[in-house]
Amino acid sequence: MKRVVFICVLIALAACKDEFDVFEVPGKDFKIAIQSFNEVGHPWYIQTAVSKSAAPIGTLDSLANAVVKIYEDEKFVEQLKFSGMNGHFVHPAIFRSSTNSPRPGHEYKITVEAPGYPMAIGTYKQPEPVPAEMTFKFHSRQRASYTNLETGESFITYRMAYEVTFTFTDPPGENFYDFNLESAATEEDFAKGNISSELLYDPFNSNLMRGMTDDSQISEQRVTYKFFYFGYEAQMSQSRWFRISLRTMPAEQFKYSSKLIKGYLASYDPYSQPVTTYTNVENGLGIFSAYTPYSKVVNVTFE
Amino acid sequence: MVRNCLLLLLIVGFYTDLHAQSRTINGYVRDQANGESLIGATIVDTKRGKGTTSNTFGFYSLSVPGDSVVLSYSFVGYSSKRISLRVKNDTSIIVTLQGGRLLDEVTVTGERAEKIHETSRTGTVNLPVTQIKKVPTFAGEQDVLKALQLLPGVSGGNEGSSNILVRGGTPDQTLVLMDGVPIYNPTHVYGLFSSFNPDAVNNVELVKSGFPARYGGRLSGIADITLREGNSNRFSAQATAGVLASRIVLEGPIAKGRTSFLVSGRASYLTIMKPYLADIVGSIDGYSFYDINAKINHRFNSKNRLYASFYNGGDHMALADSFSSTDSIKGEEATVTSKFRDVMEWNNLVTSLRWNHEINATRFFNVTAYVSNYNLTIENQSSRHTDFQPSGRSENLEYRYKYLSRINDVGIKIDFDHIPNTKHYIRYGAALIRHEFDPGIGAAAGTDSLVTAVAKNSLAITTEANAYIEDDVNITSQLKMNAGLHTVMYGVSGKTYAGIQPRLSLRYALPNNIAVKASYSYMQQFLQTLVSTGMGMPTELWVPVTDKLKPQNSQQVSLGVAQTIKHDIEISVEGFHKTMNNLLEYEEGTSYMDNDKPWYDKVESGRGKSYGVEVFVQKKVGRLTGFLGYTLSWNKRQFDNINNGEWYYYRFDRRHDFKSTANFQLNKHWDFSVTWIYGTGNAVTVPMSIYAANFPSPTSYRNGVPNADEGFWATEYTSRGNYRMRPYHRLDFNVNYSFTTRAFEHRIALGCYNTYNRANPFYLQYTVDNRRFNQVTLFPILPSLSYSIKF
Repeated sequence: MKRVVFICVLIALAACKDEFDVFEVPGKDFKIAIQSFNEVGHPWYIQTAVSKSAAPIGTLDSLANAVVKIYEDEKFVEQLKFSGMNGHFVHPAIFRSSTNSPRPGHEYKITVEAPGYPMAIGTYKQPEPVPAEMTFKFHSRQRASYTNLETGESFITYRMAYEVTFTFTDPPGENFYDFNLESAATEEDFAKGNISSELLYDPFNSNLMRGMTDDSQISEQRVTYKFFYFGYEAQMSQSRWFRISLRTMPAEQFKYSSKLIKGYLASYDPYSQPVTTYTNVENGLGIFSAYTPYSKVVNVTFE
Repeated sequence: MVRNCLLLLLIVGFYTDLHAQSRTINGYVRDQANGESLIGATIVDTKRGKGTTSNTFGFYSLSVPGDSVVLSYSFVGYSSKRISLRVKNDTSIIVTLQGGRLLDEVTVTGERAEKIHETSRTGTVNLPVTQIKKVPTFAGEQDVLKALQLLPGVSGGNEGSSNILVRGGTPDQTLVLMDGVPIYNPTHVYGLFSSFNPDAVNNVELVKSGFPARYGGRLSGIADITLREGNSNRFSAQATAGVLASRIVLEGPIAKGRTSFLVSGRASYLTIMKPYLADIVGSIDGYSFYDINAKINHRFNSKNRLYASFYNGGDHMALADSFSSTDSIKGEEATVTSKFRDVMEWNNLVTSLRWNHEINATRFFNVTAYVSNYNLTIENQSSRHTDFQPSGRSENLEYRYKYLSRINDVGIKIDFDHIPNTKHYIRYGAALIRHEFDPGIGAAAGTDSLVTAVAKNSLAITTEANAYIEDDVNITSQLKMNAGLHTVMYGVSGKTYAGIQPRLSLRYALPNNIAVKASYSYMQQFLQTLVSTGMGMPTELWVPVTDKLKPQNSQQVSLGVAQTIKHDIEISVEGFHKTMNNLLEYEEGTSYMDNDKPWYDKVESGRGKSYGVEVFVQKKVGRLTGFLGYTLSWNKRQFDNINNGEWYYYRFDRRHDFKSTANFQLNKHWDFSVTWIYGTGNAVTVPMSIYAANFPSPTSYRNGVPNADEGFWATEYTSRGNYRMRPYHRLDFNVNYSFTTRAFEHRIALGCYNTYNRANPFYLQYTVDNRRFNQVTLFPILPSLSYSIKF
């Protein structure tokens, strides 16, 4: 009996080590993250940074010294130039081309090399544009009253509702769409890149996520999507230019964007399921891709 | 369907009549002290070496030649009895056996019901209640389900949970039966305690593979728990006071020899738990649980008996807090007082009526009609009162949210036992069940104009009809087989699912009490839970299949070797491979609290597989009893839209799992128990890093440069189950001192849970704001003391 007690005490003493509350932090093998802001007809625009620990260790490396190269159909096209740091708080480095842009039907590859990190490689195939009939028309005007809760001030404005429609035939194969609306003060601003991207509202189609959809429900059919855009008269000039675009995107971008949005929304809900990260960047994170737009520019004059 | 079932029963009746030839001895095996049925007692014709076992109601039937026989009756923990008689006609004998605890010495002479190398079934473990009561437990509360978790191939998932996860299955894949009736959430206090009052339990059996055809409805396991009937000889009472709860059992005859009753109750006083529960759920205003069992049985005559049972158990938890602050609103000084109160309640209500009828010496049936109801309510109330100090005016805002989940079963079933001769033990039966689901209906109301009522999920009513037939066949003296078919039809939303589930178990006996065993089971499951978190919260919703979401199914094969050494040590090694289809998981990014769409639009359907090997050593009789088990297993899942379509380790995947428990009876006063368990840590999903990301379409460009405000930190989850928590291990012990004074039996139990104070991981807490991980540990070393008195 004494022997049993002795062994129990021995086990207890051996196991009673000092436990720690803050768990050892996973995620020390950080990777290059790529963000793409590309569209057919516009020069390549890439942002790079390095991932960092989800727990508070390590500092962000923006990779200003990275070597970013673009390949088209396995042929080297260009090394993108570093053009500064993006001002927002995550502070990535910007790499741009002044001449080359993606072209439909071609396969693209990006390589990002930086000391201390494995080379990140992203690939995709640029989809073809899908022609569409697009309309932009006035729908209704509604008087609205707003009260600033902090200051107590009230003001009246008019909410203008516009109806935007896209009618097109889904081509054979797997396709991914983005319904986009941009606005600018003048027609020239589209060329200069002084553009606001506007949010389209689609309260009727739950398959759409932030204006994106796949063709699983519409395969090879001719379909019409109807959206609403709400603008406020008091904040606008007498006329405004709009560019309506039906944009196709690679499957990789649709998957990445869908998951990114889901993950962002889930991060604020403790009861939500984790969203596994998707990337088309080998040895890295983020997305390398570009939209293929089919666009129409319209001018709207307010009464 | 009903017509098919009747046809099946007629065919079975005709077939079995062909075998009814020789003399038959039948009857019941009961406990001498209290008249309780002894389930699984062995009855052997010692001259021929042929035998049988008693069923759930203690009934047995044995064919013997028409001359003198010597019958041996034995049951684990009881003294054996031999009866010699000359058989001229069919004879009925009720035999009573004397339990070990009444003997002068603690050594128990009885043998177990059917030794492991004798039975054809694989993956089936019968734990004696006396052994369960000696297993050291959390806070000294003896617990049937926690004892089952100590078996190889079984785990509870998380610390403290009473879930029964069998061979890579989910908690909902184990059917928990109480007197043959399903019970849906048999736990208290977030799973810390099971709903079964151990003093009211008669028999516990767990089936992990080689499922007999009489069982159905779940993929992975059956925990079949039979409650006691009540002392039919004399009135007795037992009361136990523990650290967290007290319980009482009253039982006795109403009409001696004909009618008896049993009433048991348990109630908690959980104040002591507040600091630990606060880690899980925040500040607690009040917590209580209770359970009540009531059972009455009446014997009309030697062939008919009626049982009425009632069970009600529930939990009530309230969280409440209030705080006030001074603020400036609309330019005015204001005092804001906020209050909230969250209430969570869940409740099981089971009532059943059973009728036993002995048709003749070889046939017996039982009819059960039952209602099983499970209710979960989560209610949140919050209010904000604002006093504007200079003006003296005030504003009130109120908000209420209610979340309900309910399942209600009404069923009737009939089960026949037919023992035509010593070669066959045939069981057949049928059941009809109506399931009614209210899965997760949320409703909100308030004075805030943004709040609207939401009630997306609608009531679902489904109907299940099943029938089965199985035969335990002694093909040769070496080869034994249990073969059967379980058929089922399940109607939901105008669609009917049908299934034929074959079951087969084989045993081939070798010399030296060694047997090789193999089994195959095809199982289907028509209802499941949606699990939101790994905390074992009762927010797991019971939902049915739908016209689009198909029933789960599994196929399991097992192969093993079993041996009995020195008549009392059983050893088995069993390998298994199980595949599962149509499993459900919440979609990535969804939350059970969302009311934007119904549950069936928030789930993914996928598959799973588990495989491994189990080693089990058990000693049931003698001064030293106990068992140890080791499991090496792999447990994976695959869903097309989860984890990017790749296979991943299920959160309760446990590569190594070792458990051991032992009890040593020093003398008639003192006994000691110790349990040590070790398991690989759970596979959890944690963010591995964060990285700079942008939404697909930035809101604006200036000179072709995207708006600088659109970036954010995205969280990288590399895969599901991408991180292993630290291994779990724990040592518990119990010291019991028993003594008697006049007519009273006393027992004092001193125990210790987590004796060496291991900080075991309960879950990992990741806070977005400061991006830190904390391991939350639930229980440190917890001593316990309980006192029990019985007369």
